[in-house]
Amino acid sequence: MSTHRELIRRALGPRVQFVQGDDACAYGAVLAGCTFFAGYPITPATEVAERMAEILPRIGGCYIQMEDEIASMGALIGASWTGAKVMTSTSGPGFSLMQENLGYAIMTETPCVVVNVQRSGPSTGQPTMGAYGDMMQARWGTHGDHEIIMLCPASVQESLELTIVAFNLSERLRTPVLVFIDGELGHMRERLVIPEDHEFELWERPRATDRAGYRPFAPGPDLVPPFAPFGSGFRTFVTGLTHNEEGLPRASSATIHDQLVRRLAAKITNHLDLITRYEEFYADDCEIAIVTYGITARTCRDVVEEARRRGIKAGLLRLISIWPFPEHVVARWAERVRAMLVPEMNLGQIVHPIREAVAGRCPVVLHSRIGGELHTPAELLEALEALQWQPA
Amino acid sequence: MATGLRIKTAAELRTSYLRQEMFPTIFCDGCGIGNVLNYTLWAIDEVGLDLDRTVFVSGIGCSSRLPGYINADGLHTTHGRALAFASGVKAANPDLTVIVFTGDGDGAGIGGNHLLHTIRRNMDITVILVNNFIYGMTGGQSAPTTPDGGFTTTTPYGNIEHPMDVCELAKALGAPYVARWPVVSPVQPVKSIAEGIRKRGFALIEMLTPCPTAYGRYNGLKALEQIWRWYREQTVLIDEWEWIEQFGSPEERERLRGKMKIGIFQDTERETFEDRWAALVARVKL
Amino acid sequence: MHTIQIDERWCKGCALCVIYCPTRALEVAARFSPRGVHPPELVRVERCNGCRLCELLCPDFAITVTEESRVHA
Repeated sequence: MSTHRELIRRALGPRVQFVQGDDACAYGAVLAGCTFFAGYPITPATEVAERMAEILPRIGGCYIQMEDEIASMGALIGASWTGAKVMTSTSGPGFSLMQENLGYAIMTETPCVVVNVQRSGPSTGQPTMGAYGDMMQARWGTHGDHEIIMLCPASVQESLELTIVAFNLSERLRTPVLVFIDGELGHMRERLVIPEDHEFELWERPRATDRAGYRPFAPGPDLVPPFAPFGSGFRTFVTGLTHNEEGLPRASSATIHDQLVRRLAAKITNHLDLITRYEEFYADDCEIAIVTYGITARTCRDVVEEARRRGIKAGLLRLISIWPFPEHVVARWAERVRAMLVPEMNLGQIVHPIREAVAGRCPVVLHSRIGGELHTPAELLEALEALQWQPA
Repeated sequence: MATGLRIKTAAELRTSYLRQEMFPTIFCDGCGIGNVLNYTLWAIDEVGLDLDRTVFVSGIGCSSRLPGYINADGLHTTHGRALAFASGVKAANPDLTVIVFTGDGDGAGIGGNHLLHTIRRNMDITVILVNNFIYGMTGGQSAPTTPDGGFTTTTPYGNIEHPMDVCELAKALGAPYVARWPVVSPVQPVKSIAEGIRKRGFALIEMLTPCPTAYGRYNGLKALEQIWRWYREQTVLIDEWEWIEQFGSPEERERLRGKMKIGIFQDTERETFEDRWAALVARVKL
Repeated sequence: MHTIQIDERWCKGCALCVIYCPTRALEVAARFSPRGVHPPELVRVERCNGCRLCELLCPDFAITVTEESRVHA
């Protein structure tokens, strides 16, 4: 009998493939040990579900297509509480429907991964066109005070790798983790090298072992409670109501609510060391910086090279972990440069936390593009040149 | 279930099934949901469920507070979504017994779409739908099941909408086990819930549950004795109902108007999602 | 011979047990419980045949019937 890992290898096929970003997210999930996917078709994310529907039965997992995205998110959380690693994928309209249950997953510390293949919105918008208009929804989509982790790949290869990271963070910190790509990245094909098992780590959620002293929502040293799956005899009560460390409802207690909600937030912000990811180009030799994320960063790599050829000391800061926002990194760059260009495929969203982090140290110029097309190198080069004449 | 019920004592039920630190319950005095809990524990004892391997799932509303009172794994989820969460639990670990507590609003109102599809998929889940004709937790607004003309805080002049018959709906969707019982007669619900748990596939037991505080108060049925008598008078066994329709006098048939059928609406066999998925995996697994 | 125990923390004084006791052995007490409700009282002890219907109908698991073993002199 081949081991589960061998099954996965055989199910994923050849080591090097020419696949879409959507597929890479599915591969990453399977490599991370995901055995349960609940989803609903939506352009441009459907291919993630299709790959999972193909792969999961072949490795003994479960694919279930639910009646809507609300149900998908619900089934996900139910499955996670049996101990399974779980994932769903959607796009803007579906992500909007998932918000309430996403908040439930935060409140009940349920590990799960949600891939959002952003499309041009609002509303039905341009279903087949990529955009980055859900960036703030990722942070504040669900109601109430909370933190969230959101990772933003810029290539098919990175989509696989960051999905694995997303699972590790969701397990380690017992929280939902979002992976945000867009319709372009989701549907374009690129060379993908499937990493060997020894090339990446896999983290598991902390397990409760001692039934006697078991308190389901009592935090461990890193503020993460030990987990006991349904059916393990620990008899865990899980509720979205404000609850005490025994998990029992305490909705009218201000102190218990204060402790719980602050812990749930600190559980994330205390672990920026595990979460924060970014990429820097010419960090030590630039006067003007482009700060961006996602597929736009690929255009900017080209723009920075061309600008430097033209004598403009340009650098690039690519944010990979968007939430929690890496303000220290942006602040450090603000110390070094005279101006920042922020190209976004929306009317300006991540430019706001960037400006907050820069705190006036230098001008931060937004360069928006919507309509489903990528920024062209030419237009960004032009914007960079215009920035160069900013007063020192 | 020809055998009689083994008598359980309250002391027995309290110690082996209840999460006592949660008591007393949140329910109003005389609320029928407490009875539903009592009957459910009798049924669980009758079936001999292992509470280490049983998960109680619920949405939001009065009846959805029930999992908190049972000493087992519990999942108190979001409004209307109990069946979706429960489907995830069951699909991911079919060895677990999954029992859902939901209400008429939670299960057939906001949760209606999930009710349809969980039945269509025939998940092996037992659903105890507490129908008290009203949204009780929020103070007594009209629900999908509020009777014609019924008074609630949002139908102050009488409900003009036609109430939904959840059991006929479930039966039409092919749910293998569908039953409706009033809380006022304890033995049938206990047996029916036990049958539902034993049933391999989707089982719906709708419990007609007195809500003296909201529905009772707004509809002249505030006194417990009065509302319990009203439920006895308003419910007719299915076979009796059909007999009257066929052989009854016009007056007898007329008296049926506005009343509710109770009993076993459906008791058949149907392949479950879990069995079919397991067969599929066996067929394609590498 | 039977007696009943009332858990006066859980009993809400709904009186279902009193209403449906088949032998009318119970009455609603005049006094108040700590919760401020009128709990049931076994006034006609000889009528209680231990059928436990009150236990089955109690929504709050607040009433328990106990067997009193008859001590032979």
